[in-house]
Amino acid sequence: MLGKLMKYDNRAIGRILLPVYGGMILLALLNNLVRNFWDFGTDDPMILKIFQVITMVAYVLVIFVAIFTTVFTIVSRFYKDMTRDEGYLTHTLPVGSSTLLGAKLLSGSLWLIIGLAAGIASVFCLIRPDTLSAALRNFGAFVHQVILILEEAKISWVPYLVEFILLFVLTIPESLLAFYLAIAIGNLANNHRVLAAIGVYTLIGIAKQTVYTLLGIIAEHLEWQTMTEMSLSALTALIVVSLVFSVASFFVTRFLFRHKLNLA
Amino acid sequence: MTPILTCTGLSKRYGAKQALSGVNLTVPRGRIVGLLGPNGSGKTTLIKIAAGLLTPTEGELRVGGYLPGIETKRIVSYLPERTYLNDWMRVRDLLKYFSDFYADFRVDTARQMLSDLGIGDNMRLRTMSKGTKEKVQLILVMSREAELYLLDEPIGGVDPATRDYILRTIISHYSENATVIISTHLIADVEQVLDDVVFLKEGQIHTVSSVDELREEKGKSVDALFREVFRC
Repeated sequence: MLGKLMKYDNRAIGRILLPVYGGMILLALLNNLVRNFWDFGTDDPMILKIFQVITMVAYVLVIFVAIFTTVFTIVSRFYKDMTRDEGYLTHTLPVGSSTLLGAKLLSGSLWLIIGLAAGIASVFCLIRPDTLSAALRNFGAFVHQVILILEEAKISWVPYLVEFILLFVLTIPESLLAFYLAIAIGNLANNHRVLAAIGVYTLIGIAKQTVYTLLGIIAEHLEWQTMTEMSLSALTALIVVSLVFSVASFFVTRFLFRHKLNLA
Repeated sequence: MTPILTCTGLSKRYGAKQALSGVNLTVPRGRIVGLLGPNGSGKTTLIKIAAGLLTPTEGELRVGGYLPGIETKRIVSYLPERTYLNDWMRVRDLLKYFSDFYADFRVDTARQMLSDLGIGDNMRLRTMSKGTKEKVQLILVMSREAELYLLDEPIGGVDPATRDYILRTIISHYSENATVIISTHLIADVEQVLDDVVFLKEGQIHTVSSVDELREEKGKSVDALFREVFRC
């Protein structure tokens, strides 16, 4: 059932986001053409510059549109499917609330990753092939240098890498669960549910920041052997906090949809 | 045979408003039951609890012996009083959707009924009129071989010809041993198809009877009796 739910979620989201990502990549390619290969049959440098500026501005705008559309589509899909008219279909499927919520979370996370990948791909499309390969070689050399410096200073980079990746992976579902929890709590209101959800989302953000600040204050008052120990501990604390928020958000959201469903 | 639906001391409160109060009801299998009452009498609340969309404040409701949950959703086919399908989907997407989630969905039956109405597989829901959308929803719901059909105001807000079509579809396509519960306040239109009636008044059961017994006992139609009971 999880796979089937995700199939329909992905279709609903993909039909909106795929054209946006496609447009972003096309604009990046157009930028590449305009700056490096295409003179529009004119010798006038001013006209060429205008084309280049227009295409670059369009590309940057589309990036912002893609970011906004991605988040808005994922969140509004959840809102409509779980709390509006389509909720009458969703909540009468022979599927448990954990599966419903899990499907939304996995689909949403997948599209956030796809959006990020599309953004990175568009940046690669922006650059001339020879410039791109040179840039990649330089980046590889830079990373290699950093690793050598760290190894010389007897600092192991592997735990840092693992923790950064773990934190990145956890941040994706955590950010979605904050929206889902806000929507679930906002749905308890009889009126102005969207406003209520926005208010709850704001409060969740404040609560998280408060926790991070408190952790920072605690860390300042502890005695650390090395900078490495302190920074790794900080990363571990962030990971734990993220995990706790995510798990708590999931179970509270599930409880609310299971026992306090209030479809309009 | 065990009843398909039983309510024991069922109550539902929304804040200060008591939507249902101490409802005790047993609905047998194989019957078409009219859940009748004026607006705000608790019909939709009762149906939503049976469909698993609301939890009772007190008491319990069981469908086929189970509390509302995954097991009951497998055997209950529910039609809400609104368009609840994804607007962007085409008819063929909806057929696939219902086939994917409901093992008892008869896709050929649905396709035949849609074809009879001239509704093609490729049509998008958002391009249809309100009445056509209602018909599509009804066809999808009635194409399941469910044990309990919950139809909430299936004929409200559509023209008389569509109402006739909806009632004919209900009669001709529900499974033989299944129960159909139709919630409505348009009594005159549905009276002809009902076996039993349940009158709900201010969240409480007022009358439970077979239509024949009621007519014999009271000497009047269900519609006339309804107007008398719920006179303003």
